[in-house]
Amino acid sequence: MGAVLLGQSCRPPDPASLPRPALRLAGTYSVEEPGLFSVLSPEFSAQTQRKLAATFVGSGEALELAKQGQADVVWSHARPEEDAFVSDGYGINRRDVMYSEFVIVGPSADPAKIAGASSAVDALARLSRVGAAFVSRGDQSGTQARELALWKLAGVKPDPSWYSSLHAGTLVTLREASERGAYALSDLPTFLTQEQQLALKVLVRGDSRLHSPYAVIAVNPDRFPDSDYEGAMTFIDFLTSEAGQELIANYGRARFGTPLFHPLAERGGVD
Amino acid sequence: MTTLHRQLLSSSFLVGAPPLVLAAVVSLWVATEQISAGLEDRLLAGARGAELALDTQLDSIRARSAALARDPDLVTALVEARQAAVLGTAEHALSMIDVDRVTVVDATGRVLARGHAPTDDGDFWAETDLPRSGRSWAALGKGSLGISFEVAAPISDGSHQIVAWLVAQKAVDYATLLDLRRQFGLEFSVWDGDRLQATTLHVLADLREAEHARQQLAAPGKVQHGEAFDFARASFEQDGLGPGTLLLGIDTRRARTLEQRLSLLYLAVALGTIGLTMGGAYLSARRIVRPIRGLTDAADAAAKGQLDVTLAVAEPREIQELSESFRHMLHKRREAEDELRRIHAELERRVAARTEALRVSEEQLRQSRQLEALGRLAGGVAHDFNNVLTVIGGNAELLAFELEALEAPESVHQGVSDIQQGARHAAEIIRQLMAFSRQQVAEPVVLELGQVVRDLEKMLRRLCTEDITLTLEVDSVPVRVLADPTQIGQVLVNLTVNAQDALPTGGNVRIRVYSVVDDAGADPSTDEARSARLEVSDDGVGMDAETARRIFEPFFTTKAPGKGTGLGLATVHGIVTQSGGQIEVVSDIGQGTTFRISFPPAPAESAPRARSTEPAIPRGRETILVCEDEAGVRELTTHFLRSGGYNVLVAGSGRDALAAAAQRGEIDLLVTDVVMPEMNGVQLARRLRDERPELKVLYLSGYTATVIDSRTDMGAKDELLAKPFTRAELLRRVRRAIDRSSDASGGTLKTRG
Repeated sequence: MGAVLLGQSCRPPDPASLPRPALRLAGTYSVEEPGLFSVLSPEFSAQTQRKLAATFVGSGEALELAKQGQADVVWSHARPEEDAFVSDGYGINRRDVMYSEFVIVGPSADPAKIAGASSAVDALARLSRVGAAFVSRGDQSGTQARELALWKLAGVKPDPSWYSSLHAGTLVTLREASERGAYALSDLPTFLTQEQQLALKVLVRGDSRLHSPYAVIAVNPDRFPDSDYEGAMTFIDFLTSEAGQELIANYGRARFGTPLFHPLAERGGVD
Repeated sequence: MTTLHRQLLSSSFLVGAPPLVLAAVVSLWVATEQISAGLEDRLLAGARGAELALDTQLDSIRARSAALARDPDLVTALVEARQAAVLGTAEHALSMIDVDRVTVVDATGRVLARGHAPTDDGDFWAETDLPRSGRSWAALGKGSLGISFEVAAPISDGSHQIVAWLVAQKAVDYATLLDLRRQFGLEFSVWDGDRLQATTLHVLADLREAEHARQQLAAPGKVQHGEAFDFARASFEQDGLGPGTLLLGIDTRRARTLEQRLSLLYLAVALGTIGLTMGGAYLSARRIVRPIRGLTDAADAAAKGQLDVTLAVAEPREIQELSESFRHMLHKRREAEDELRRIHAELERRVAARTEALRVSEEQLRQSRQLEALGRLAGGVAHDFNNVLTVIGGNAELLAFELEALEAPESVHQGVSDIQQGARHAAEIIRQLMAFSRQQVAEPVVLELGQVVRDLEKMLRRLCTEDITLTLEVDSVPVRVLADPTQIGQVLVNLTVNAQDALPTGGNVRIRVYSVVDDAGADPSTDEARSARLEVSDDGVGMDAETARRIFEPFFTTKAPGKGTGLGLATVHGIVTQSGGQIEVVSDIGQGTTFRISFPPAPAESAPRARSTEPAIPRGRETILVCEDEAGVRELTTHFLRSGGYNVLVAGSGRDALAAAAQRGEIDLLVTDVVMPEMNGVQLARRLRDERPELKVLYLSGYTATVIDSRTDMGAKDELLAKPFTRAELLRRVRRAIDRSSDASGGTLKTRG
């Protein structure tokens, strides 16, 4: 009985009561550029009394920062690298948060007549058949990787007669496509933010092959004992909570008339 | 101080508290055990449930993978070796069967296509036994995604030849654990070897605890207790996790909090119950104690003397009985106290009586001492007066004797006769004085008691008043006693006077003389067998026993002050006792009084002195040594003896007497005063007897001092003659002393100082 009575927890005092340093987030550009982060961050701080110190780089670079112990939590969209990050013991509790969409854009006239196609692979195959002009970023980005994968799936080897590779970012690529009246693959958020300056429109979207999943991963506290594991899990839980998922789902609706991100954590969301 | 109330309370506490506390402790123990057991049950049930859930998930992946593997488009693409189509199928499968990775490998293990990412992981599958096994499998184990579900589904062509494998992989990741968590309400963590893969534990300390538990728990079915969590391991039906661990944790803090609350609750209930019990005990104890207190109050009241308290106790029966006993006790005590008061009063009365008696005794003692002093004074005076009277009387006698030869005028004869008469009167006064002071010299002789009484009859009749009839009854058998006739007279006078005082309105006084046979075996005809009785009785007022008992006490008197000295009967008693007799009194109120005196039998050979005939004065020629310090008495004695024909040696002191005796030698009789300076008569006689053991002695004494205090001092054959004495008395006693045979026993002689 005494053991029961005296069995008080001897755990240290709740660190929540102490002022803590800001949680280090290594994130991908694509959550910052469209302004999603600037909406989520204050909400997170309000709900958890934690401040975020975010660094936005490319997904691969974000994971690399975490590997060097310079982040507590990573928010990225590069599944293979993420899997490796976890398998190699750098991270734990990888969680799908959302996906953004890639879209195939083109001139409003849509000379290749791909608008409304349900399969992105079919649409690309058609473009190659008609020899419609296509502008590619031509860099090592995720968008480029996805474009190449889609061409591969379509069984098409792009021909320079209609296919030009720019070695540039999405913005430049979209402007080039707009000027040339060419087709291009873009992430939806970037396109929507630039839509007003472009003579382009979304022609193909919704194919699962055009989905771009984002995940959030805590840095493994076994590997980085100084990392803020609890803060990381707080952030993961926030993003995958109903409130977090709703914020994500609604972001951009008012401004663009369509959501920019689609929640992925509904099924596995925290209670 | 311990009170019954407190004792009852503490008894109740001792009786009630331990079972209550025990019950509380046991209940609490059972409850906490149940809680702990419940936690463990939940944990172990969760482990089994999780295993089942993972199996179900694996089955689902396998089923969907198998379905996809049968997709005709995929088969066609494979057969036609259209890699893009194969890749497209793989990509499609990724989203269709909800796995992390889908790979299509050929029969040799070479990767043909992989879903979601054009990554290069070499010939991983070629190195597995997948190509050689030739059959599908589904397992939860370690793979290239860490701990994961892995399903290999064969893709067959139209002729059922396996052309490729569809391999689906799904890591046991955070989302999987969250699903389990939601399903079982437990925390889950999964390790790939020592690498933490995913966990639902968000708190680092909890995670550390889980780490520790993982290292401790070697097998499923056991529970590891931590501070905040209890942990158990899950196992799997298939190949098992191998180097991996799926750990389940249950947060025990709420349970511990519950246990603590339960402890407090039980404590509160136990204390409350004890409190209620004690409260009840207090009330019961008060109920029990109240009647006892009533008894106590009654006892206190009784102690203060209030014995008539009322006790109204109806119940309980024991107390009622106690009250009854107490009431009875009080009753008894009241009786006892009454008795005590009575006894006390009696005691006080007796003490008062005794005190009074003591006061009287002291008064008597004082009187007695006064009288003794007076008597001693009187005795001294008497001694000197006796000497003087001996000289006066003796010389008057001589003078009268001489005058007979001379023809002196009648007036001279009359004068000498008056002198003689005066001397006798004076001697009688002295005698009376000495009798009062009980220093009378007894001169016991053998008397015929009847004769003595008859001689005194005339005088006794004179004592009595006219309304009193005195009767004399003298037995015809002569009754002899050894006594001083004068003293017998005193006895009779005193008893007669006493009898007369008991007859204030007249009556009868009877004097009886008779004898009784004391010794039944003795010859009644001899005097030795008979003891004499002298009885004086009256038919007067009589007296009570108390008075009769004290009648012989000196100074005890029933007469009015001035009417009597209280010495009369005391004198009687003294005389009788001095004579070796006894006196008893028989009396009762209104029945008269009888005094009965018993005298011891008189010596056989002693003849009663004939008083009626005065014999001729005996004479002798023997040598007599006279020792007397008083010159007058010495000369008179010498004269009387010489006139009787005796040869007289005269000495004024003991020393002179010794000298004279030494000079003369033969001495027939020593006549000596008793009280003399330097050497008294007894001492002188003893000295003389040193040489003449047969010496006879006649003591002359006017006062018997302490020098003669026993028969051994004086000798049995010695004679004593009281002063004053006449010539005839002297000569008669001298003759008797000389004639007394040496072996004859002397008469009883008692002297007292």
